[in-house]
Amino acid sequence: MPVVTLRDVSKSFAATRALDSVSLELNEGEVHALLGENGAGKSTLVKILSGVLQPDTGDVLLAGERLPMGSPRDVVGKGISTAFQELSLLPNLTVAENLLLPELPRGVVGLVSGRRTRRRASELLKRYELTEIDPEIPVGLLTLASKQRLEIAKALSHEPHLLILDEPTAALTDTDWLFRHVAKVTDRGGAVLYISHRLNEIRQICERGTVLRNGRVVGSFVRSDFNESRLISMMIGRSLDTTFPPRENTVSTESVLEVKGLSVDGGVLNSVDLTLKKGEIVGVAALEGQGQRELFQSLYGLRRPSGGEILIEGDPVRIRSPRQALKTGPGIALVPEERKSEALFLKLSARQNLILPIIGEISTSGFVRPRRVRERSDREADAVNVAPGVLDRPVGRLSGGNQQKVAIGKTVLTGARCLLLFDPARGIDAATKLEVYQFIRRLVGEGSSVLMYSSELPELVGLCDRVYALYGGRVAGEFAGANLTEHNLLTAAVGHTMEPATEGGVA
Amino acid sequence: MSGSAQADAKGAGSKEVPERRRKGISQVTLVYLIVLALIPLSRLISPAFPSTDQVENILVLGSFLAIVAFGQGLVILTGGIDLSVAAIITASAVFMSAITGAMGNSALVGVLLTLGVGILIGLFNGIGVAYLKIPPFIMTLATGVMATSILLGQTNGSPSGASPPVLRELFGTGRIFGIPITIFFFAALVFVGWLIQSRTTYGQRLYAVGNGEIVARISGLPVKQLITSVYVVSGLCCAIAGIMLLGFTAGANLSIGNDYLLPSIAAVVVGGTAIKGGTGRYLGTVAGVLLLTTVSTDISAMQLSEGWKQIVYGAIVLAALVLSRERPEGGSRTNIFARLRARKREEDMDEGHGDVSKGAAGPGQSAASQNEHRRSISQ
Repeated sequence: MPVVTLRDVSKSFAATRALDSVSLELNEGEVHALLGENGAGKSTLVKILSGVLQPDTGDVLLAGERLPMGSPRDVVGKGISTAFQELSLLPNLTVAENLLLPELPRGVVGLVSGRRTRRRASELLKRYELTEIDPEIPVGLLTLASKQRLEIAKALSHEPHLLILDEPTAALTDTDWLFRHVAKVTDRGGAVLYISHRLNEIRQICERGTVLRNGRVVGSFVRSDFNESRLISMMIGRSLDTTFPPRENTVSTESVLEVKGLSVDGGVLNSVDLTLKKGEIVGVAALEGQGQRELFQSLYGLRRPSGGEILIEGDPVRIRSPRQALKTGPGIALVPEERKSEALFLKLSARQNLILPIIGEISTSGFVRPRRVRERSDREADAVNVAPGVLDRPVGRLSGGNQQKVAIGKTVLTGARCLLLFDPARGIDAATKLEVYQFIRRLVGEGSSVLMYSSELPELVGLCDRVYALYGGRVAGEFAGANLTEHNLLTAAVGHTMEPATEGGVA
Repeated sequence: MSGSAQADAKGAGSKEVPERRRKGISQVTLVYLIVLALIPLSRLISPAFPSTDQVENILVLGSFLAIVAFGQGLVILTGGIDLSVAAIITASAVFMSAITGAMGNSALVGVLLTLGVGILIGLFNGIGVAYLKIPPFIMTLATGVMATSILLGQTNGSPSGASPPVLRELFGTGRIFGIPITIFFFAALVFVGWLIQSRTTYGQRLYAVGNGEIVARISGLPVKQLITSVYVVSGLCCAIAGIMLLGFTAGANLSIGNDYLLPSIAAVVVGGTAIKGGTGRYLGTVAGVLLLTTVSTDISAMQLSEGWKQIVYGAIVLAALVLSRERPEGGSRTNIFARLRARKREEDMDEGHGDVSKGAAGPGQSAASQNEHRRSISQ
């Protein structure tokens, strides 16, 4: 008897088909795995099931009844609750308040009763074996693991018919607690949708599972025919037909960047070693939240690492700020993840965006030279293929592709020759992607070095000379040459060690 | 291959939504036109208007506001606000009159020391805002209250000393070619202010900071130093205004700076600078100064009470804020439905991107995580 049935559910965002007639049944007492690469459509599915998004077409039935769409609160009322990967807790409110929202217990005159809130929260914490958490402290003070437990406990406390767990073990080290409570849900006839990249967890607790790729169901499995290698192949599928510019051997023997034992507090990054040579494109492959962000931030002085060493051209350096990073050795520069909030001054013109980081260098005793500004920005715009006609518009009004080209152009214009690119081809159209790839190739041809993270494996395989896979904050493998395949990268990125060769890569 | 990419790029360029021509006129031009219209309209208020005296008066009175509003404008450009301007002006004027009068220092020494006082108070503000991360309005409000209280204590309510004669000559009675010297100061100020804000690397960097501290930091700009500096400049401008006002009124009193807090913010906002920072021109601020000063002289001529002036100022600020709130980035006025549709489209796009490229969760959650992410960056 299915608890929840999805029938031909589709959802598009602009031109992107996030879900393409997905059908799925979640049965009573079943833990059902949902697998897929970044961008396969898992989170869109979660959003639809939790009432955040409405599907364009298709039905979601809960015990035979249509689910109220587009209202998360109604959906919770109907018995579907979700523990989000990104955690929905409010950091400034206490543990007790977070647990009981949106229905805080009231006192006589209808005001929220602090005493009852605490009492009720203590009961819940006891029920879910979280007595080590103080109900009266703000959630922001908890460790990431405690926050994750609390998020899950909150979802459990609604005693749902369907419990959705989105990467529930991303910050949990022991899974016993989680599995015990998941079992309680299924014992009383509830269903659990379990989203995880960790295949060994899935093997342990999931009866069945579904694999998504590019918004479509591409396969399913039951526990008896569980086969990790086959699942990974299903997740990758045939790679997209993107053409990559031809590789030229530009790699020299000179080391530009060397990282030894780099760690970030709380094990987000754990003793990472990597090297980058002059003229080399080195990739970082990782699923969401495996420490790649912290790695790039540490290298650019946006985050203080808790341990380890960074060597630039062989000399140990401490990078305390982006300003310092840009001046270190050959210059380290970052193209950040978020175009709109980190890379670009949206209200300023594309020209100003390009020029601002180097405005000091092209001015005469503090005065801006408009003609020089125009010449330099024209030249750089030409290098990154931005039509000169759009240069004087606010960059926020340009297309995503042009914005990204400006973001890359402004970084390159700083003259830095060690470039950190965080997902540089994200969210842009295929033609612009190709231009970005060509530009990256040209940069290393001119003697720069590139360390890039990409959420798309084909990009790493097609563009990089060498790729490190990160998993749980550690290097889970290093791949080059014939070993550099999507299959190998994903295998390492999901934390599954298949060949003894990859063991050697673990620091 | 690269040839086709070239062609693609030009294609991508022409694919851009064509820039909408600005409908109507910019806010700055509008304000200048209103000022030009208001001066002849002053006749309705007094038969003595309009006159050269009136225009002269507007320019002289406006010069004090223009200099305070320059500092305030830089602070607002970075997304902050300086609520201590009135206190710094008063402190400077009182300090100046005290050390030149009672202590018998020369005017030049007095001016230098007074400018130093303004810089120090501004530095105090700047360090609090940039390094200790105190919200600007709390920090500057506290500084202002402290400065005022210290003054009250030191002077027992009635400051001693008077303006040195040279200041009275410069900013009070002195004329060149029959034009008050202050007006020449005003002209110079407009030029220098424009130069600093629009034509120096310093000014350009302030726009960057106002557009996004995180972006500025990632772009390698010294964000904390820049933020500190605008409060220092504001303090310095207030000190200059204090000295000029001392000369103009011939003697300091404890309310000499009181009339400048709200107008300094009003002039900046009316002149087209976004209260959240990142846009605006000093010439716009000057337009705001002239508008406010014209209105103020008219109200004085009507012999209405001071309270009315404040009410009108308040109303002008609110009106300017409402107007600028209705304007999309960049300043073109388009109809509100088109804008809502555009916003909806952008949101959809963002949703799409978020989904395609990472395993994000519900919007609330991803917003929370973004904040977390941002916090980690801005540390």
